[in-house]
This record gives sequence, C-alpha cells and structure tokens, in this order.
Amino acid sequence: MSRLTIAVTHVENTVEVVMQGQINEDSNFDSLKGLSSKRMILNLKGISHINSCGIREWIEFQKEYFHAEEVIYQECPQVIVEQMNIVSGFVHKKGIIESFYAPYYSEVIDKEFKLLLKPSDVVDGKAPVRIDEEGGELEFDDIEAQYFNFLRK
Amino acid sequence: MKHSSFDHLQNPVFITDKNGKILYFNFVCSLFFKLPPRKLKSIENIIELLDVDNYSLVKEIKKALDSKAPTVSPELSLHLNNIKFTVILKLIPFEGELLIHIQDFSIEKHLHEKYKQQIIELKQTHDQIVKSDKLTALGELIAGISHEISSPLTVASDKLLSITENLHQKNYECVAVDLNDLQDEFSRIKQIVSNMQSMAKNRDEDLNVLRLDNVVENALSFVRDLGIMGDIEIDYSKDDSLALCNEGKLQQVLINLLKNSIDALAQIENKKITIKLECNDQTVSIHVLDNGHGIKDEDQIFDMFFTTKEYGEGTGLGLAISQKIMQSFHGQITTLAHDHGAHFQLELPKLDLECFTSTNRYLLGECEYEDPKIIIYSPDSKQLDNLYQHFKNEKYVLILTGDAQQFEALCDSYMVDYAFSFDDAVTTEEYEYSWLPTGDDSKCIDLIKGMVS
Repeated sequence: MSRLTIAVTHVENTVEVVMQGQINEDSNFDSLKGLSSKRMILNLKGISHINSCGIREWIEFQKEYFHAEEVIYQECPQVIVEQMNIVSGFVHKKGIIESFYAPYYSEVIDKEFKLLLKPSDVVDGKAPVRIDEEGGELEFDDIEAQYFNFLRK
Repeated sequence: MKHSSFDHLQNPVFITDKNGKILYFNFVCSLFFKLPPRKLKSIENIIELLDVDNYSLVKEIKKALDSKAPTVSPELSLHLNNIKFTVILKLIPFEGELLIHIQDFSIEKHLHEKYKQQIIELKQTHDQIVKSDKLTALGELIAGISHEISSPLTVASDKLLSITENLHQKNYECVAVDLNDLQDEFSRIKQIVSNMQSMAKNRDEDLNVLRLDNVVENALSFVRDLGIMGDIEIDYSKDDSLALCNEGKLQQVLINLLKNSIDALAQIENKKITIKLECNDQTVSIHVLDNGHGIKDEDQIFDMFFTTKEYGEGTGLGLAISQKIMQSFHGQITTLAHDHGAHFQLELPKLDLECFTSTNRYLLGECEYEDPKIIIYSPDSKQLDNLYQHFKNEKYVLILTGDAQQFEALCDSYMVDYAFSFDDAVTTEEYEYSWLPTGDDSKCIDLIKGMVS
C-alpha cells in the first residue's frame, strides 16, 4: 500500500499541493495545516485509492484548515471523481474543479484511456468526443449521467 | 418497481432472474467491482462475478425465491482482483426477480483487526514502560537500601570491636550496653529487609481486600528506609477504610507521590507532608499533601515522559503509571487545589464493611454452584480482615459482614450453607452456628475448616 505523500510549493499568492498515494485512515495531512495563501491548487493526479475513512478525514480537514479564497482541484483521477459523485462535501465550499480524468474506450483496438477533461468540455451532461492516435472515435466508458453528476453540484 | 429506482443507492445492487442472469446493476457496482459498465454488461450471470468462499450462491438464490422471503448471508470473503473483501449479501425476492444487495464491511473489518492489534501493542508497550519504571525504582531502591544497611552495619561492627575490647577488660556492664545497641542495629536491618520482602511478595495481578492504613504505613516505612525523609514532618491521620486493590501497586503509587513531595520540599523550610484517609458513600480516598512549591503544568503532569525535574533526575513516567495503576483498580488519581504546595487524591471505590464478599476465586468468577457458601458476622473489622486473609484462596465462597441485619437476612434466605456469628447477641436458629469469643481467630478458623472439609 502506497502511503500518502504531499509536496507543497509556494508561488507568490498561490500554494500548489501535489498529493500522491492512498487517502485512508492513516493519512496525515499535517503538512497542509497553516497554509495561508489566497489561492490553493490541489493536484490530485497521483491519488490511487481513497476509502470511506480517508474521505471523512479529508472532508473534516478541508473544513478546518482550508481558508484560501479559492481552492482549485486539478487533474482529479477517476477514483476522486467517483467519490465526488457519492460523497457530499468532498469539494471545499470555495472549490473549483479545473480538470479531471474520464474513462474512454477504443473498441477497435480494445484499449482503455483516461483522458483529461475540463468541466467546460462537458455540455448538457454529454462526454466530449475524443479520438485515438489512429483517428478512431473513442466511446465514453461509463454512464454519463452518473459520472458527470459532480459537475452539477 | 422500476429498476432505475436503485440507481442512486450507495451500495452495490444487482437484479437477477431466477437463474442468476443479471438484469440490472446500479452505478455503485461499477465502482465496487472496478469495472466499467461496458464490462459489467458483458457478464451474464452473477455467479461469474461473485467469487465467494464457502457459500453456494446458486443454492441461496433458489432458497430465497422458493421461500419468497429475504435471506442474509453470513460474513463472506469475496475475491476481486486479488484483493479480499468482506461482504454480506442480502437476497430479496420481488416480482419474480431477485435483488442482490452487497454490503461491504472490508474497512470495518480491517479497522477492527488493525486497532485490536494496536491495542495489544499499546498494552505491551505499557507493560514494558511499567517494567522499566520498576527497574529505575529498583536502582534507586538498591542505592537507598545499601546506604541504609551500611550505616547500622558500620555501627554494629564498631560495637563488636567494643564488645571484644570490653570482654577482654571484663567490663561486663559496657558489654551489656553494646549488645543492646547491637541488637537495635540488627533490628533496623531486619525491618528494612522485611519491608523489601513485603513489596516483593505481592504479585502484580493479585487484587485483595486491603486496609488502606496498612498500605500507607508500609509505603511510609519504605520511604523512610530509603533514608531520604530528612527533617520532613509527617502528619498522618488514619482510618479503617477497605479497598480492593493490589498492595504492591498501590504502594508503588504512594511511594511515587511521597518521593515527588520529598523532592519538592528540598529547598523549603518547615517541610511537611500530610496524609489523610477519607471515606464517603461511594469512595475511599488517600490524600497526599505537601507544602512544597506546588504543581505547575497541571494539565500535563499525567502525560508520559512529562517531568519538571532536572535531566537524569526523573523519568517522567511515575505519575502516568500511577494513573494507569489507579485506573486498573477502577479508581483515579487527581490533583486538587491547595494554597501552599501540591495536593494529590487517590480515589478508590468504597468496599463497604457492611458486606464485603470474597475469596479470590469468587472475585474471578471461578466458584462453582456447589461450592460451600459461608457467612460470618463480626462487628470487628480487623477480625473480618484477618478472616479474609486466611480464606481468600480457599475453595468456597466467603461472605464476611459487619452488618447484623444483613447477616440474619442472608441466613433466613437459605442462600448460605454455614453461618457463624462472633457476637452472642446475633444468632440464627435455622443454621448450625457457633459463638466464639471475639479475637480468638485461630480457634474459629480451625472450626470452620474442619466443618467444610
């Protein structure tokens, strides 16, 4: 099991946080305490797993320690999107989702892809069209109404 | 009911026909099985998906549909992508179909096992710390005892030289005085050794009904033997309270408090330690007060490794361990407000003299229904205490009471097999009883042992 690692970088009024590994009951978010920048960017690309205890810890931690005027969620992987869809409060009240991964599938080459999307790419709850290297159209590999539900919140 | 009604449930739900063919699955199934809906749709039968140990899903599906009643599985191990999940399946028949609800308990099970292991480790660490504190105490003890024994030995050695000299000179009066002094010095050594034995003989796990004043006196005597009391005045008021605890451990707590007080009084004039025993309806308390520099950082003093002493002078474990010890007696140690110096209170559940029951085996729940039950009444608490000490490990239930009405009520209830009274005025006709003169314990014990055997 990979432990959670957190890297914090300050650039002017922005603090950039890169999180990697698993979020569970043993996760320690202490290095995120006392960050006082106006803008906080959370890059979650490296999160491989999150369990229900980890979610609870994360939500409580955000409520107590995130005081930035803007909390930006960047490159949210599928495990995070799934949690956003089923758990209320996963995203901070001042949170903005900048980008997230979505599952696609090529029937022709029988290959799965995780493609980075922006919320604006999703129009009327429909997944944007994406093509593979060969120019073939990929099909969205989940239920759109369920997967993009978090964007409506 | 439409299948889509289950779309937003937070647990995985499948609907199958009577043969297990998947007709519907909700969104969470995809998350739980880590399979995109595309792949889930390609799985025809639920049996292919649910690889559970020691559970025949086919049989259970049939059973639920035949009985038309929901069935709940035991806790099952489900294998997914080489990971073992702990689940409970609920099979609910409705409208000719079957709803399979999966409750995932993997996290709860994992946490339960993890915390159980952590508690075991904490307990082991705690035991190790207690042992290390004992070793520290033992080191200090050896230093103190060596010092205390070497002084009377030096005097005794001088007296022996003096006796030899006086014998040589036939000065028998001086020999008699020297022999008397010699005896005093050896008595002092004997007392020190006796106190050590008293500490050592108490096994840690033994809980006994104890007179608290005896424990306090032993602890005081022990600290005196360490030779660190100096010119400290001890103000001690007794009480005949009883408590269920371990003598050695309670002494350890008291010695720790006394040593802390002695350290706190080092720079103080008119040093004084006050020890009071107090009793109310619920608890008995030992108060230890001193007129030293008082307690700073009250919130932290019971924390492990917290010490205000100089480096090397204190381990910071004494009060933390004392707290654990008191908790093991269902009691507590607290600090109380005090104008000058420190005030600690050791509180224990009151063991009412009116009815304390017990042999060790009875307390541990090891007594059998057939074991003889003996009730003894005496208005003298010391006598009851002596009886308890004699009988505590015997194979019968002993009820010692200082309450005459209770004695008679228990005799009348036929709950006891033998009844004895140490008071002529209190008797019972239904039982074979005996009147014995108060204070003649040995006679009484022989009689009871004879009858039971």
